[in-house]
Amino acid sequence: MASPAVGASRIRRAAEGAMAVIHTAPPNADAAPAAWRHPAWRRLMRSPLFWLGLGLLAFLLAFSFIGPHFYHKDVNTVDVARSLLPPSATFPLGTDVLGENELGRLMIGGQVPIIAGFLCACAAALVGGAVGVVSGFGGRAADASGMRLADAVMSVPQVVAVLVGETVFGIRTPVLITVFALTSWPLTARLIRAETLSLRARPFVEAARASGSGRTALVLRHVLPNLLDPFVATFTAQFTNAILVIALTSYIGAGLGPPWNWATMINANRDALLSGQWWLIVLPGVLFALLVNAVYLIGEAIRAAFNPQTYRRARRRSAA
Amino acid sequence: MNTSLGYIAGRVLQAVLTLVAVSVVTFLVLRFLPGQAPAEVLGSSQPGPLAYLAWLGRIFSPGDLAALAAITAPTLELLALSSVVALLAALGLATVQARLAGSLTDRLLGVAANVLYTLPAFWVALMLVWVFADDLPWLPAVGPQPVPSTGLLDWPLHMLLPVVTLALATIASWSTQFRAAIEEALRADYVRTARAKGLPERAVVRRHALRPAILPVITMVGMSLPTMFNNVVAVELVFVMYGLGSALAGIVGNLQSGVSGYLVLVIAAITVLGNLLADLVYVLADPRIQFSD
Repeated sequence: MASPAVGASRIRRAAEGAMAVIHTAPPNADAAPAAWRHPAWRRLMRSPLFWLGLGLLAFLLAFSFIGPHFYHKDVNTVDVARSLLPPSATFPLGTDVLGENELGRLMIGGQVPIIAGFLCACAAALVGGAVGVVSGFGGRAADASGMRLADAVMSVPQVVAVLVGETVFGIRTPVLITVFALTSWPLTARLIRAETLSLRARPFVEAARASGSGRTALVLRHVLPNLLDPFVATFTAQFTNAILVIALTSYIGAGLGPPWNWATMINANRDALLSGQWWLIVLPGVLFALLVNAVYLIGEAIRAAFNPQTYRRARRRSAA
Repeated sequence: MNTSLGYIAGRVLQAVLTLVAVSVVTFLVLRFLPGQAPAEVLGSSQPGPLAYLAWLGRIFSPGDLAALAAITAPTLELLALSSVVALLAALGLATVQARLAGSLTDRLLGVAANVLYTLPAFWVALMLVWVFADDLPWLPAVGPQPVPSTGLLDWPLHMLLPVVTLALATIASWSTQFRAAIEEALRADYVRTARAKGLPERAVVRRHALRPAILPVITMVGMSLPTMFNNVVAVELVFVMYGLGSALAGIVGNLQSGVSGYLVLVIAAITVLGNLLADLVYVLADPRIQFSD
């Protein structure tokens, strides 16, 4: 520890500490009765936030993926003669600028954000988790190179990377997900690394090492299970971020070819705001917020249920 | 002192290396994907390293430099103004929340901040235009335009909605983090001492809790620059402003000139230098940072 990097890493750590209050479960590796009977699962099943989030998510999934099978009247029939009709029995939410059934369009419009959002968040979590654990456990050279690379990648705003990627490779969802995976891992990696470093120094990890655990076994049995909390926390953050980036790049590229979704709908109908059909703009935005918050609620409920510290604190607060 | 100079030198070197890496990657993307930028812009007749240097050098040609400066200035104004607004608002909000920690007000403000954070910035911008420029015709629906100003209040009025939109998108994440920092500081021993000696709560918060809580905030502001820039693109598009963000949005499907590469460089430079500045201010502001030798 004899370099200016010490100061830098200390500053980063202070910032990370402020950015996410992380709690770690105590070692629980050996007690493994039937998993579903674990108190954490029971706590989760009793959490109203969990059911609220799950209900919202189930509604949005049904709305976007099942709904279009049963409700597809005039969803793809452009007819400018009936553009911007007010809500009626035939069109419950009226029609958009192109004269298409707005309710039907809203259903289809959710498919791309939901699928791409989950794939983006998973990609970021996998890449970031791997880099984080390797940085935390793989020795100083791996750590330094991983974190400097993270700094460099983080310095380019993601929308810039996505726009350049789309310009070069075309406006397609796989391009979006790949660019997102390549640019969003640093956040997850930093948090997982910080947590791995702190776990490494814990007595129970030391005890496992002293009793002859190899490095792989140590990581798999003692470190990974305790990374659940920061992992879930960054997954929901990455999902939010992915949805916002998808929305923004779709809004920018509307008309150039990103698949139809709530953001391209907002762009296509934005003049309707001034002519009185406000719901054409308001509703897609509300659906975005519902989607992101559903995932956030589920994530927070999982963290609260599986993390004794959060769980106890919440109980203390409600008792007070 | 020497060691902190060493740290600063190291940090500056790291920033320069980051920028070099970004420029090399940008150049490679432009050069090795055929059919994008015309050959003469990237000098593909020359060997790679020379072509890279020539391309990089051309950013300083008077024409390109002036064009870049003209679109960079409005973006910097937007970023700086909304950072200040967001910082003050988030500090105020977080102080209220931390003092009422656990109360209904605290939780409602927390939920509101979280919901605000999840809304796309372009949607928030459209809503603000709808309410304040259309429904109640109080404010102009566009940002400042590059035409001669018509009055003293012209620029501030046009700037109001863009700044508020960008600040709203930023306040949410900052206030959550401030709140955690202030709440932690309020639990410290010296705060208990300050309370025990009979200091009024206001003074306890202002003098003893807020100051240490501001330190991590400095780093956080630097680290939020890339995310803020995402929202700059949205704000500049909706409010029809001529800045880096709207110029960037214009390159989709069109990388016809080397200038689009320069855009990426300028944006990366802003975020890297912002981060560097934040880290340096942190070093100067925190008396506890000791540089081990």
